[in-house]
Amino acid sequence: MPRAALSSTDAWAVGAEPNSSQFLTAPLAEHWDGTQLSIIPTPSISAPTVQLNSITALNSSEVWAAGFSDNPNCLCGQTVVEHWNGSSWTRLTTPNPGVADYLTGVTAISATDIWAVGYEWISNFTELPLILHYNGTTWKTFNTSQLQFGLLSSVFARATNDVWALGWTGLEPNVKALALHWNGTAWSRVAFPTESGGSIVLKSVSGVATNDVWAVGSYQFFGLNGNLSLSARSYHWNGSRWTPVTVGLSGYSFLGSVAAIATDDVWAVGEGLVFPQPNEFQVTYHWDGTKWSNVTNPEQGVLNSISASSTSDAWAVGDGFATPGTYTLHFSVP
Amino acid sequence: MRYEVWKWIKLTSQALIKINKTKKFSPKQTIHLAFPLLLTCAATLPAQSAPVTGSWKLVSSPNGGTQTAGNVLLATGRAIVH
Repeated sequence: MPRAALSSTDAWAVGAEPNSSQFLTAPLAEHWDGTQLSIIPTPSISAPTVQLNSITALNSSEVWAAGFSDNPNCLCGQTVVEHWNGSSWTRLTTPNPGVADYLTGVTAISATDIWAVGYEWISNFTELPLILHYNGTTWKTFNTSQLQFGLLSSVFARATNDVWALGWTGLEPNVKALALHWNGTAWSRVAFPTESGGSIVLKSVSGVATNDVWAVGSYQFFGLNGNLSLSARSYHWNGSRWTPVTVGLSGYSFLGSVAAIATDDVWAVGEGLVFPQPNEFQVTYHWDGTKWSNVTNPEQGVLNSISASSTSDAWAVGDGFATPGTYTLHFSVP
Repeated sequence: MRYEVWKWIKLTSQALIKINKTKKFSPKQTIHLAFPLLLTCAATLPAQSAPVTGSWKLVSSPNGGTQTAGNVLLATGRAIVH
């Protein structure tokens, strides 16, 4: 599948900024114009907590961001989808089928074919994957009640009939990876590898072809001291099944985002804890078609997301460890 | 308490947070319990170098290069031509 950057002067990052306290947040959107990053105002939303978790772009005037608004004092999360038309952000009216609803991922095939995923809180011990589709006019909500309990963390659309939504399902200690595929007609659950003694939690999905899709996340398990620990994982879809692919990160680690450019050009970012200097976090991993290798980045922090449009143009964003606040990394070839 | 630690815990266990709201669940308590594992689970990361042409560079923050404490970027996006 051909992939190309809109241009080297057009990239977006979204997240959240403090809103009166560090646990109350307002949406944050930043735009790269080729020279600098600028904060772009987003629509005012009357809620103590608002954050944007995902962003997708078709061109410079067709950009969508998804997240949620919430109030810590109630179970009243609301889905948030915003659209950039080239000059300003506008909030779209979106469904909220559950008691509380949250969006974690968004992907666009065209302006009339957009998917957003997340989860809806129904009641105690009942949280369902949330799948929304936008046809340019109205949103459709898909019934996921057969899954009983689950959460979707990422969605990737390669084509109208080839969409992946990943996350996890089940209650501790029986959490399992959740991989759903849309074939243009219906969603179906696809078998995913398991590991004994812990749970696979999927955080991100990206691909370049029907038989070349990547998923990343972590294997979560409780250590001897009873604490939850994470170990980075990656998986590849070859058109017929998902297979684990060794990452090479040991210790406390996870991969939170993956961006596939070509079969031999895939990036993944996250967090790794390096011993004996536990403050060092440098996880910008690259797949060359054979193996994952870490490409050193100049900052210490947790990388939450990566997007790449070509071999010589990738962006990674996160929040700093050594220096608090956001940080943005750009990969380029001299 | 570190915001990014809280954020990760929040994203990966928000279901449990919701469930436990009625049981007076405390985010601070969760962080308090979780943060030590960052220190106790440390292990060796193999030193690796990649045959990648190019390099990562830090881009100045919108406010002129000084990061704003508490801000977090959760996603980045580029146009994809299908």
